[in-house]
Amino acid sequence: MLKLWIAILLATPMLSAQVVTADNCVHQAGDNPDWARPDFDDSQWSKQYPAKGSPYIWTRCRIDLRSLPRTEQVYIEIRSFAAWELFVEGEAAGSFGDIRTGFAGTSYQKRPIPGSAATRNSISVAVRQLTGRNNIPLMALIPVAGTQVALQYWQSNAILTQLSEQAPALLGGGFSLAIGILLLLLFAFSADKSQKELLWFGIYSLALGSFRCGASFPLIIATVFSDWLFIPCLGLANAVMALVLPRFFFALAGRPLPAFYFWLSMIVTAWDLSLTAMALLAPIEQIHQVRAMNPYFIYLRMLIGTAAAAAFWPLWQVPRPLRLSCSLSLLFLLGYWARLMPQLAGFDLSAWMTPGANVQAGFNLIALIGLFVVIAQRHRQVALNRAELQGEMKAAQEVQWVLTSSTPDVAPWASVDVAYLPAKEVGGDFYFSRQTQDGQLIVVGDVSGKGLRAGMLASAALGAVRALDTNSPASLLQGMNRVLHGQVGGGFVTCCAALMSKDGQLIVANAGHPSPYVGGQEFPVEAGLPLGIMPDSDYQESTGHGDSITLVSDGVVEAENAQRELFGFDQTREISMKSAQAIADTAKAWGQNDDITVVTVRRKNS
Amino acid sequence: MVTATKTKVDQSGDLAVMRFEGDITSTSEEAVLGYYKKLSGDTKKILLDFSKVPYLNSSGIALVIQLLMAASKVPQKVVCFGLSAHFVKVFTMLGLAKYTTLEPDEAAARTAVG
Repeated sequence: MLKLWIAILLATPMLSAQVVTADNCVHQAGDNPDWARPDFDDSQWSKQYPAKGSPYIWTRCRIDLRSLPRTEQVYIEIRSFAAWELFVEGEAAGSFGDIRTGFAGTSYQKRPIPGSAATRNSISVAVRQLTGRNNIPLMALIPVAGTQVALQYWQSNAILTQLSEQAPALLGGGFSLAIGILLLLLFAFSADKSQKELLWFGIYSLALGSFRCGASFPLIIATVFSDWLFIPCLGLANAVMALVLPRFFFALAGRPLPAFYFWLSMIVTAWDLSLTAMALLAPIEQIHQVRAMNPYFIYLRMLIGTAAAAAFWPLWQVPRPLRLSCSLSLLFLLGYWARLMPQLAGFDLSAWMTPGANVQAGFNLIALIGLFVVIAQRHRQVALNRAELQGEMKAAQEVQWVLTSSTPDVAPWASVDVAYLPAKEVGGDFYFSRQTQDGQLIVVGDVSGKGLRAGMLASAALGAVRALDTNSPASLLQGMNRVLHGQVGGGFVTCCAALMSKDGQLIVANAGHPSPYVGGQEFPVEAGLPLGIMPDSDYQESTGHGDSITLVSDGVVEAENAQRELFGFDQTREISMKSAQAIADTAKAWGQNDDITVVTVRRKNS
Repeated sequence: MVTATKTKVDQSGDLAVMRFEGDITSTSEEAVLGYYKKLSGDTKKILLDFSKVPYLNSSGIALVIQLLMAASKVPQKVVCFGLSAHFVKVFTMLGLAKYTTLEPDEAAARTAVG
């Protein structure tokens, strides 16, 4: 392969003399079979290639064949991104694509000059083109003629020239692809899926890279991509870019996506997708009508780019840690607008073919690399913070474990059985057991919410229980309420306190907690407000008798299975005579979604 | 899977019906307290419709309690309806009788609120 390219490079200058280009090409929009005739008077035709506006465009040229060796077959090469028909001296000499529908590919095609015409010194060439469906412009068509080998070298030389001219744009496209893949891999393997900027920028970079490479390579190397493949690929890449770009900038700034940008991106994405579908399915004339609306959507697309500034607005008050991200986003915006503005002039993809595309690609490349570095650095910092937080959560878990797992203080005549299954590293449930002169005191509580905050509040509640010197369940709850009021931050703490005497007398007070179970039945208690809500809450004591009492947290009754059925009070009551661990395990097996705590007290020899 | 909370408010004179849909959890602050704060200043009676709420966790209940506490300070009369049997029991245990009453359906709630 390398040898071939070297051969091409060396041979090209020598062989260039064996290729002749057409002179005096003129163009005309419209369609008329007479325009193929060699004697047609085309003196009124324009030397300028017509702007798009008509599905059909004719080109007529004269080619002087005298310098070509006539010992070999002579060909004419046509470069076009549309379907076409070739006429030499008024005779059909070949075609490409479907001239009725416009379906074609991107191609450099050669057709042999018919025998009779090949002997002439000068020939008349007419080409009838049907505008491509792929929105790529019909560039000025200049046929060339020569031997097959000479034309192959001619074509290779042209490809090398274009590749070198567009190297920065292609490099940018390739770099975008690499960045996109890397960021998406980072997101996929990241434990923290909250870093949406990784996802959005990864998708955007992938789409941008695909778009750039997908749009540039076929044009440069004249592949035979069919419109059926080419159009959906570019359309999808465009749609994806419109969809994710505002999401990325707002994720980068750590702000929610405003409704305006949500709907703007949805509209432009829908437009891209429908234009893509139409480009494949609609008659070519209708595609022209629809594309007339394209400028409006380019304005909308430019508006989407303003998300880069809006996400950080007001720009003069951007916090220091976000200033680099903001600056790079604005640089990106400049490149983004620079890419779109040329399209407003011609409404086509010619911007990719111009040297200006390299400048735009340069802008984008710098911004892309900068943003990639910023995001990667942020990802690393988040991972470090996460690891640090996990360490602290583990430490908090150990502290809570020490607080809650101290050996229950149990009267000799009683046995206390505890099961504690936190839903997260740090739980919001707590329990307490103390023998008193009046009997065995048991407290089970639950802080609303989960996680570290709930765990810390549970520890505070436990500290309050330990500090209160009372054997009365109601007094205990009132004391805890006084301590916790103003500390719960909009939440609350439910708590049930029970005192069992040696002879089985029970005194229970409840602050919004599930009622305890005695002898397999729910123990009727006076309802009371959860702790921490009102400073003067009053709690009533209910009395009864039993050999055992089971206290549970709401993690048992509100265990939820895959069908979203709650374990419920009835099933809890049915298993309430089992051991604490068996009750907790049953609830967990049903579907744990909260901390589960079960404490049972039994009188020995009962 | 937890479903997001949606809130619809039907305001009629001094009566507002807040209709919740979806689970009420810690993420429902705007749906519960946000919409409560947006009620007309003339609102004296509030019905809380839980008939399309399959689940309230403790954080969600905390939001409802905050609403009840805020309403009691105005004062506004609040009646809840449409709660499942499970959550009727949970609300009863919470000792909220001073702040709200629980009714089975909207007709009973409208009668109770007066």
